[in-house]
Order: sequence, then C-alpha cells, then structure tokens
Amino acid sequence: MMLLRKIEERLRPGSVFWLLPGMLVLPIFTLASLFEEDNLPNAFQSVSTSAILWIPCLVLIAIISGKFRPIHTAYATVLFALYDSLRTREIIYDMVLKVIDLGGNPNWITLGAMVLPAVILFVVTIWRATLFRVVILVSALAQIATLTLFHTLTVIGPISVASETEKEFVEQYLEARGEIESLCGIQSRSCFSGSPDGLAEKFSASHLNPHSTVKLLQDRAGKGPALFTWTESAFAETADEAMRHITVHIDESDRALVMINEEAPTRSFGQMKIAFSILAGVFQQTWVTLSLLILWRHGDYTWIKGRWRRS
Amino acid sequence: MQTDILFMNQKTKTTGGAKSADNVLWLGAPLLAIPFLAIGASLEAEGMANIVRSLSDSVLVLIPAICLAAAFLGHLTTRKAAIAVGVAVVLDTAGLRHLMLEVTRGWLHDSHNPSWVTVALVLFAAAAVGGSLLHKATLSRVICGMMCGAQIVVLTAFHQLLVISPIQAEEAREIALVSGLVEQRGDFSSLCDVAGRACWVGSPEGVASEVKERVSHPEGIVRLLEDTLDRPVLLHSWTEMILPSTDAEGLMNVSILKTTQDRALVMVDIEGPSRVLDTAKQAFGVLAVAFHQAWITLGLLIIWRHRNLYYRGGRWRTEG
Repeated sequence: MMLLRKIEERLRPGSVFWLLPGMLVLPIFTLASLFEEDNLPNAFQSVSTSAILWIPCLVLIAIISGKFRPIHTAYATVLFALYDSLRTREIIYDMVLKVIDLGGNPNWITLGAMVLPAVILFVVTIWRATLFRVVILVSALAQIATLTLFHTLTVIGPISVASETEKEFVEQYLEARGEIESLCGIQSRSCFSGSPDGLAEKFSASHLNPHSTVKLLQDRAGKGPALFTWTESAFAETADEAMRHITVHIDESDRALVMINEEAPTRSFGQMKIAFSILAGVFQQTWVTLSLLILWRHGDYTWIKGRWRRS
Repeated sequence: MQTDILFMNQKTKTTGGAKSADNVLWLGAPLLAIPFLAIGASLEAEGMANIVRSLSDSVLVLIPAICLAAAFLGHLTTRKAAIAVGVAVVLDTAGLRHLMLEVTRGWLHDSHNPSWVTVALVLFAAAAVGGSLLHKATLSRVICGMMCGAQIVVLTAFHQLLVISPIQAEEAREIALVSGLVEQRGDFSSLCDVAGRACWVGSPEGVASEVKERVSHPEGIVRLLEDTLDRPVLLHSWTEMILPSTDAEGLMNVSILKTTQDRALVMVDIEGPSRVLDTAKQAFGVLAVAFHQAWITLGLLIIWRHRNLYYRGGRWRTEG
C-alpha cells in the first residue's frame, strides 16, 4: 500500500494533465469503434453500450475516495478499459442468466452497472458528503435520467409506432383482400406456409430468435383462424441485432402463414441507434467535461456542520 | 461632513436599488415561465403532440429574449431577465411571430410556417450577443452567448435526429413498399383503402381535378400530373408536409403511377406518416423543453451569483 502511495506521489496526481484521459476517452473510443465495426449503427451502438460506463467507473472511485485528485480520472479510464476489454458485461450476463431471465437482452447489465453504483454512492454521500461525491452523483443521475429519456423518445417510441403501423396495415390488408400472401416478397418480406406444427418444428431449428413464433404456432394449432402481428429483436445478443415485424396468419383450413419483414424495421432501428448514441455521447461528454472542470477547481471540499470546508 | 452623509445616503440608496433589482425572487418568473407556458399550451391545443409542439414553439423564444436583453443592457439583473422573459411570453401569446410572418411574406419569403420567424430570432439574438461581446465582454453576455450557441447546436441535432431522420425512414419504407408491389404485380392498387390510404384512378386531368377537391395541399400532385401529361409510364413516390404549423399539421405519402398515357393512379396516405410525425414532434418538443429549462436555470443562476463582472485586460473585474 505504501509502495502504491509512493508511486502515485511520483506521478504528480494533482496535475491537470490527468484530466485528459477522462475528457478524451469518449472521442477516442468513438474513433476506435468507427474503425472496428463494419457498419455505422453498430459502431455507434458500441459507443452507447460501452463508453457510457466511464461515469460509473468514476462513481466507484468516488465511493472509495471522498477527495478528488485528477489522477482519479486515469484510474476510472483504466477500470473502464478493463471492463470493456475483458468482456465483463458478457461474463456478468452469463452469471446472472442462471438466476434471472433477462429476456435475451444484455443491456440490462449495462443499466444495472449504472444504477447500482449510483445507489451506493447516494448512500455513501448521505453518510459523508464531499464535493467529489456530490458532483459525481449528480453526473451519474443526470446520465441515467437523460439516457432513459433519450431511449424512450428515440428508440421505444418509434418502435412502438412502427409496430402499430405494421399491425394495422396487415390487419386491414387482410380485411380488404382476404389474404396477405400477395405481400410476400414486397420490401423483402419472406413468407413460410404449412401446418402450424410443421412450421413450429421448422422454426425451432432457426438461429433467429424463434421462441415467440414457435410458441404461438404451437398454442394456436387446431384452434381456428387467427392473426397476430408483433415486432421483436431478431438477435438480441449480438452486435448485428436487428428488428423484425412478424405476422402469423392461420386460416379456416388450419393452414398457417408466417411473414417476416426484417429489412424495413432494421433500417429504422439502425437510424434509431445512431440517434440515441449521438445524443447519449454528446451529453456524456458534456457531463464529464463539466464535472471534471468543477472537481479540478473544487475537488477537496467536504460538507461539515452545514458548510463546505476545504480538507 | 454633510457632503459625506449625503454621499453615504446616495450610496446606500444605490446599493438598495441594485439589491432589489437582483432580488432572487425575480428569478421565479424566468424559471417558472416554462411550467406556466405548459399549462397555457395544455388549455389551448388538442392532443399531446400539439400541446408539446405549441409549448416548444413558445419556449424557443425565451433564450433569444434573455440574450437580446444582455446584448443591449450589458449586465443582466434578475429583474431585467424576468422582464425580458415576461415581454417574450406576452408577445408570443399575442401572436407576434405570426404577425411577423404575415408582414414579411411576399417580399422576404413565401412560407406559412412561423417556425422560420423563431429560427430568424434565434440567429439574430446570437449575432447580437456575439457583436456586443466584441464591444464589451460582460459575464452576462458570455453566459448568454453560450446559451445561444447551445440552443442552436442542440436544436439542430435534435431536429435532425428526431424529426428529419424518422421522416426520411418513413419515406424510404413507403417507396420500397410501393415500388415492390409495382415490380411484382404491375400496380399498387391492392393497397387502396388499406390503413387509411385513399386512391383515385382515371385520366390524369380527371384525377388532378379530383385530388384538388379532396386533398388538402394538393399542389405537388396536381403539378406533377400536369407536367407529365405527355409521359406514358411513370412511378413517383414521395413524402410531404400538409398544413404546416396548424393543429391539423401532418405528413402524407403520395404515390403516382401511370402505366399508359391516359391512366393515372394516385394514392395518398395521411394516417400512417402523420403518426410518425406526431411521435417525432413529441420527442423533439420534450427534449427541447427539458434542455431549455436546464440552460435557462443554469445560466440565470450563474448570472445572479456573479452579476456585474466584465472581462478586461486578461482579468474579470467588478463593474462600479
């Protein structure tokens, strides 16, 4: 411990240059993602699912240490690099999956990694409030609030509208024309027809998230005409994740038609990912810059007996 | 001695006056302006999308009002900021933006959308603050300059990401659907009456006159049909605004198909794209309002705490 302290003292932990790793982590990570990923939405998604964890890394340091020193931003960057390069999210996801069903979505781990440290920091701040903890707590809460808002407005809202539109379109097309087969091949809609059980068996072997389709076909087999349309993620666990509208139509003669429209919703989803990631990235950079500048100037204050005092 | 007492009295009076102009209670007006406008918008407009739209339209003029006050007065007090915001709210409620649009239409522009007046106001305020900063860099002007810059950048980004992109995606989706059907089945008439799509079929002249009567904002369709009378085959599909800046504002997808010179099929879909526009307007409005409240609160709190500072000779100095 003494040795570590000595090494740290030699590194001049109060130097303003230590703020740079924190301020530059997002631009550098974004550039790296753009070079690494083969398409723009995935590059931006990589930023929004990983880089946003830099603030939670600083939250962990604020929990341990009440007084801010610029070298803490370098520690947070190292923590973040370890988290990202060791694929910690996937490891935690696999562990949690044994206990809780996360619906095939590893983004719950990212959310948990943001919320849990913020809650602990909140408790620690109540116990002993330093300016470092207060500022980082505000940043963490602002990040959670803005990301939730952005996600609702740029991703959830448009997906709900697209899903509603497709549902209405298919329903009314069936009502007006008496069939939906003429939509097959349009906008890259692919169709599969046959008996419900036969189709269920065929889809079970598919790698494209077949659970809902298979379950629905099995449940509705032999129960008369039905029409279901919904929107779901095609492969939630991979970087190439995509959205698709699925329609299952079973007619009077118990013949089922499954229509999958993947191209159009995936294109929209790509745009949503870009929009969300840009907004998330820009606001994270703002919070980080603002917080670090405040902490650099006032990082050693502690709230004692109703007043801020310099340690 | 008497002169001294007189001077001290004057000084006390001035300080007292300055304090009252900088009373923190005055911050209540600009800080509560947005909630007040939200109540007004919810009473005035119908539907969540229109309420949010009406609110965001009104909120956008607040930062330019504060910035113009800082540009002309140099130092802002809480009272001056409250007056600036109050005047902006009253003028906006009285319909000044619509009046300015009417006055300038014809010789300056041809638009019916008062949002252009807001854009002009935002840019004018930014230019005014920028110019006044060159003359004298007071803290109020620096803060207002940052508020103006942030407003322009954030609104441009939000508009591009939340409004323009979804509309473009909707247009691409409809074009793919229509062209796919034409490619496979020769026309798109199977879409008529599906999900609110209205169709007209017949001679190009007959369809043009029918569309003129039945569709609000039919100019683009009619002009295209008239301009392509001599063309035997064509397929056009596009998305455009209808009734901009009204409560009935919406989008429509238009598709026109001619398979022979004297047979045109026109399909108009208002319901689907208008739903996309409603969601986009809500998303843009909510974010715009939230960030305006944040900028205004943050900016005015800084100005209130640091008041009459100005920058000269590499240092911040206190005026007077």
